[in-house]
Amino acid sequence: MTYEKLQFKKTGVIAEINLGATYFDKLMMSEMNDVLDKVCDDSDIKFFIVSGHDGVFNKGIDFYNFSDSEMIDVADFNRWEKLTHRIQNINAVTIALIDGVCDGAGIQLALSCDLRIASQSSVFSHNEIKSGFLPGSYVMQLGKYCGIGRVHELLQSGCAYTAEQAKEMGIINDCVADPSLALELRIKQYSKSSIKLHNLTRRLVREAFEMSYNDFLGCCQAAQHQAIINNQGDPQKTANLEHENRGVISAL
Amino acid sequence: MQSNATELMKRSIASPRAIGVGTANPETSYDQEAVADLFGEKAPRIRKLFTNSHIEKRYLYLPKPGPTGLLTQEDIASQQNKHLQGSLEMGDKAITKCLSESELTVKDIDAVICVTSTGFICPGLSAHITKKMGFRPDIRRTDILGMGCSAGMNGLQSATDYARANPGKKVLLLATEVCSAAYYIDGSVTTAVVNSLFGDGAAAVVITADDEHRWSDGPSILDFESEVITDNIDALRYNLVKGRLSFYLDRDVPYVIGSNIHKPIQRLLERNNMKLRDIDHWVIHSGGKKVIDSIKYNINVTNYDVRHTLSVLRDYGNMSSCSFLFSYDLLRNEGVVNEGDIGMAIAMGPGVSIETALLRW
Repeated sequence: MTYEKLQFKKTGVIAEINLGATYFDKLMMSEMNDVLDKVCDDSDIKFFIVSGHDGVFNKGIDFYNFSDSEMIDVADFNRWEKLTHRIQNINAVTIALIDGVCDGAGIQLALSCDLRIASQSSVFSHNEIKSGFLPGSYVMQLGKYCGIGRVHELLQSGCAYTAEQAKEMGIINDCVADPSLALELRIKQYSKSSIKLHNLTRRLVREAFEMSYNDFLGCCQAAQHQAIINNQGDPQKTANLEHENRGVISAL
Repeated sequence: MQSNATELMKRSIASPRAIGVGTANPETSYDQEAVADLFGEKAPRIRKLFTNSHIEKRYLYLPKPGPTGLLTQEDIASQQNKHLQGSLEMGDKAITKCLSESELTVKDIDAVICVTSTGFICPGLSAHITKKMGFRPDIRRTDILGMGCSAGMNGLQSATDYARANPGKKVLLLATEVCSAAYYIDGSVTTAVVNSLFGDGAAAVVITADDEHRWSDGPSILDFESEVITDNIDALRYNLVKGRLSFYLDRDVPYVIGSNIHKPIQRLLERNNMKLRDIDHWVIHSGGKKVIDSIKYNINVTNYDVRHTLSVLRDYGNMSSCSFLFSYDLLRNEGVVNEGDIGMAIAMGPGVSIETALLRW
């Protein structure tokens, strides 16, 4: 199936979505949901990569083409939130490959992924308030990465910051000269890991920042139980994988 | 996908619909510290079971404490009487709310199904509630006993079958549990687990298959699916101890449920050409925090999806068969349900059984 606002391809265990438009509008969101249906239904997929085009990852929401009705309402933003929530829960390792401008909702999309790789020339900014709206629920994630004081400043000022600064603040994982090479290394790093364990860890880490210790303990035990079922009583299996992955982390 | 939506819409028009709900509890609630004090629990390990249960309060029919300020073990006759009187009091309130909301009278009810596992009486609760409420003498009656926490869903299956086979007739399901009539006090950790968890409550729901009601009156009940894990048949059970029933909960129950919960859900969804992502609302039994966590991590439902399950646990404890109907009541009063939304109801209980129902508004 061909799409108007994006390109989608699957090569082996890797699914890639290339954002063909600069801004998110309702058509692009609908097409992304369609792609996500395909990805969720394909159990072969282990990696889901999102990238942009021509020096732009994404510049945020096109507020002129965002709503079905004449006036934008909360339901429109809710549809957007649901889309990013779907990406956060994909049954695959999700990676945002940023090479160029990444603004507002583009940052939210990137933060919905497990990993963010950006080229050294990438530039970030939060443009929502300048457009008369508020940033989405990614404020929560942003706060966890770089703290309340910094988030306040980034959102209120809308000032641009570099990939290097984003890396310093913990917003991105890799700031590199060659994003494709970094992507290759990350895929190699994660390729032998169990997707089930990856998903459990992803959720556990998220919940660790949302709950009291008492609440979190039950989640931890439930996740560990799922991991035990996954390993079918073979702890050596996990130990071996850890050993193999160690070299790749240092290469980054 | 569009054709499946159309097919579902056709089926939901013809399917029995839950058109009203009422819930009730005893008048008095207790926080966990207070219950532990009344039971005379002093051991830190046992008190921790109460305070770390993620329950803030429970509504209970507790007797007046003795001169020492502690509860004493009620005799069997008192417990049995408490079960009957409590069931009738809460049952009356729940049914009255449910009928009032559905704009029905007791004379409109053609069949009644009563569910309970916290007391055994003969004649059954359905006869007593018929007398108390003044149902018609030709009312069809069924009593479901001993199926525990999943029994509300087992009752819903029977009610739905009756409504489907008798279009236009109205069947009332009453799930009532006086868990405080099944307490056993011996100071052990095993009984403390039970005594720290269960609360008293009742819920009533009317099911009918007719052309008069629409989605805003309540969801159509499209389908059910069960999973019985008989390898763990003894994991939840009543033991007979010194002539009394004492409920036992195996420590692995959360994980038995957590490892099997996806099975009936998967079958139910496949049979109805749906995916997990099609579920808009989850109505899950408040079995306990560990059970809820285990379900969350197996089928990857969010904390938002289980918000009502957790809040019912926090505010009422585990009310066995009627718990999931309390969650359902919270969901429909929240105002977030839209026409065409799909819901998945789940209850778990002895067997070990997992019962699921597919709903469509």
